[in-house]
Amino acid sequence: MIRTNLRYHAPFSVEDACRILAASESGAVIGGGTVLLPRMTRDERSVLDAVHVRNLGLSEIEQAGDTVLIGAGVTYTEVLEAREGLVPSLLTTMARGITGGAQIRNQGTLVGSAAYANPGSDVPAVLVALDTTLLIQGTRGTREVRAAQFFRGPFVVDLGPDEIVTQLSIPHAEGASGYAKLKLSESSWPIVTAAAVAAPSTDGGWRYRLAIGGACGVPIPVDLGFLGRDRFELDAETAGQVRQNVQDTLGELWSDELAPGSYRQQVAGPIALKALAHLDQEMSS
Amino acid sequence: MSTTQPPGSAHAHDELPSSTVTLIVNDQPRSARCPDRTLLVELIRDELGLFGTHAGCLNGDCGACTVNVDGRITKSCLVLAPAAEGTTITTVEGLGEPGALHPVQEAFWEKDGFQCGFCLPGQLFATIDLLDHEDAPSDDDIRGALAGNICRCTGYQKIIDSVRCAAERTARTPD
Repeated sequence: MIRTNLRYHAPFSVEDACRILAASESGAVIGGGTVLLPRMTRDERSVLDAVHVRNLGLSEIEQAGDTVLIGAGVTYTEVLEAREGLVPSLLTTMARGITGGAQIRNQGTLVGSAAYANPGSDVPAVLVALDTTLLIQGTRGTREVRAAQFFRGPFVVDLGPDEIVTQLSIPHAEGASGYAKLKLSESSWPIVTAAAVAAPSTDGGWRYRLAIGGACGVPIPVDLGFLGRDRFELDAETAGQVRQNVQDTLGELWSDELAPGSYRQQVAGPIALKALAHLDQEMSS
Repeated sequence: MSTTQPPGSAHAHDELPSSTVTLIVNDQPRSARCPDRTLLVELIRDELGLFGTHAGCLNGDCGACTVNVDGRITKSCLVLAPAAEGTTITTVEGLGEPGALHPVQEAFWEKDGFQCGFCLPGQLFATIDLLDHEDAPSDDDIRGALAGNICRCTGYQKIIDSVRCAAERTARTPD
């Protein structure tokens, strides 16, 4: 039983949703509810006004020029069911591995996970690796924030109390991707995640991106410039350089009941290499 | 539910924000009035009297509260009851009945796929969902499909045997 006497709102416009949030002492947006509702049930989060996205028309995945737009109400299952080629393969790989069974994939949303910003969740590093922009609307208008700037700290994001993330805008430039994560049991949060992307560049080569999740409070982009623009070979020298770059890039480490920061630091390099191996495999195929 | 009422800067706490929820449950139109803070699992059990849906962890982990909402299997502890307005829901009671069990229920019965029965709603719905998408699931497919359900009796091998049996039966059953 949720103890707070909350009021449920299902407005039909984002403007109305923002007005409700702005006027509330303690408002919250419900996307899939998979994180927020248990927190309310456990009385960790007291919400007076719960604003559901269900009627906001934000449940679509759309192509817009050379980007794909993913609405705030889009679930992991809807990502998996999107027509082939519409969403980057990194998103489908990640969505397929979401913990909690088909039920959670049916209910959980990418935007909801991004807004919660659990350092150990799958979504943040993936959004950074894909160079995603979050489209945000509030009572004072709209704005756009790159994923790398959106995540400000553990469970902290660049989002005002009257604001809603309406869509994710992802450049459709992914040529191949790789994803890997370490978790200690099936139903647990990941300890460390790694998302790798190879995007075709205008000169006919490749631009590589790698982001590490779970090791620090926010997802960390790792410089892979040394790989150049050609196909890389994941030999011992390259692997050593990747591991070194990961270690050099990690800042303040994240610890929680699942693993201390020192452990996360040690496994980040190997998980990054696993993601790059998947990327290499996808490029070969 | 409110689309027009003002947000609660300070709700009159003597007045509990409430909604009338109208939905189809097991092919029957149902309606109930409940506080907005009510979870769907609480509505199903306490207001609609369908006790086959179990309230377990209330954390989205155990799967005992699983129902089908508009064609998607759903953990009903993760849904506010007013959000179910206008939906079509099947609970475990809607799958079959004594003497006319769903084929998946028959397979679980035959293979001793449950002990205390607490996790059974989730295991059944997850199996039906799997077989809707995959005619001949591998053991990995089966384990993956059941991953959102926790059996406190730890009888997982019997559950997997039951799913395999259900898959064989449904594969033999013409549409």
